[in-house]
Amino acid sequence: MLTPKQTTALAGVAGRALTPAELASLEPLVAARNDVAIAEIISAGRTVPTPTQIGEGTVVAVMGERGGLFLDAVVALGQTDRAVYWGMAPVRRGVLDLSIPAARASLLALQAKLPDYASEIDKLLQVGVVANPVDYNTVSDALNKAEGRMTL
Amino acid sequence: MSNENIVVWGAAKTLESAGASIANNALAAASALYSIEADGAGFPDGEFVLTVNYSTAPTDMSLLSLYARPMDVDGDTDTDVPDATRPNMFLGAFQPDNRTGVQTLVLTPLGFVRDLPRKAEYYIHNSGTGQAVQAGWALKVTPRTNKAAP
Repeated sequence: MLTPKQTTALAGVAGRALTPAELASLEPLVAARNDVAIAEIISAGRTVPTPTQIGEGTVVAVMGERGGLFLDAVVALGQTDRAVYWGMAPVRRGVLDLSIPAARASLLALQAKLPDYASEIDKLLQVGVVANPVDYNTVSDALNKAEGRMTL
Repeated sequence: MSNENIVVWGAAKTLESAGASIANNALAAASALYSIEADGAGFPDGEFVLTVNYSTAPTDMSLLSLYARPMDVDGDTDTDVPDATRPNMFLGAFQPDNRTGVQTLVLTPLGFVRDLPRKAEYYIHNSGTGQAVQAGWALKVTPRTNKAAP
């Protein structure tokens, strides 16, 4: 049984609350202090966008045949929406950086404005996204403190 | 021929025979102190041997570090225990193999430490092996010195 301090420590490292199933899987691993395996479990689903500049070519490459239609739809929307109009400028220059929160927010906003392309926009948002696993030493440090162990 | 520089060893002392489990990145003290005068017959150097057991293979190229905490350095005043802001005296490291089971490890790179503290408590730091050293680990030191051949 994990102690409340251990549970809090692992949730802190994961950056989210842990599910009951995860806690059940973690229990024997924490008892054995298999910190490598613990890190793998709490790393599940953790991703981070890396600096990745995209342009019209990336849109077409990712969306396939729907890419051209999507760009047309965005341009059409830009006739009435100035944020979308100017948002297309970096796309035309191939410098829209998907790691910038504002750029991702603008794409998410497009999902609401162009619901027919929501799934394609999701694919676009995955460009440059890589796994962001928790290092097992970070797990160790958090657990050692929670368990009151002498640690460096 | 005589008077060549030769190496001689004293009787080994067990500093820890059954240590508690050491989690990754945690630190554990050996239960016994080592005194060059009382335990080492005045020999200044020491060869350390660490016996550990892993139930899950440790991460390759990681280390189990050896630290000393000099004791009675000012009368009967000791230095602080190693901690995050002051690791104290690093002496060397043992390199476990990436496998399970019992491993008998010698210190790297030379296998021994020159000029040990006069009296010290010794610590093992599980430095990034990723796995807990199982309870039952042991640490021994064999006094060593150089002398002229008879």
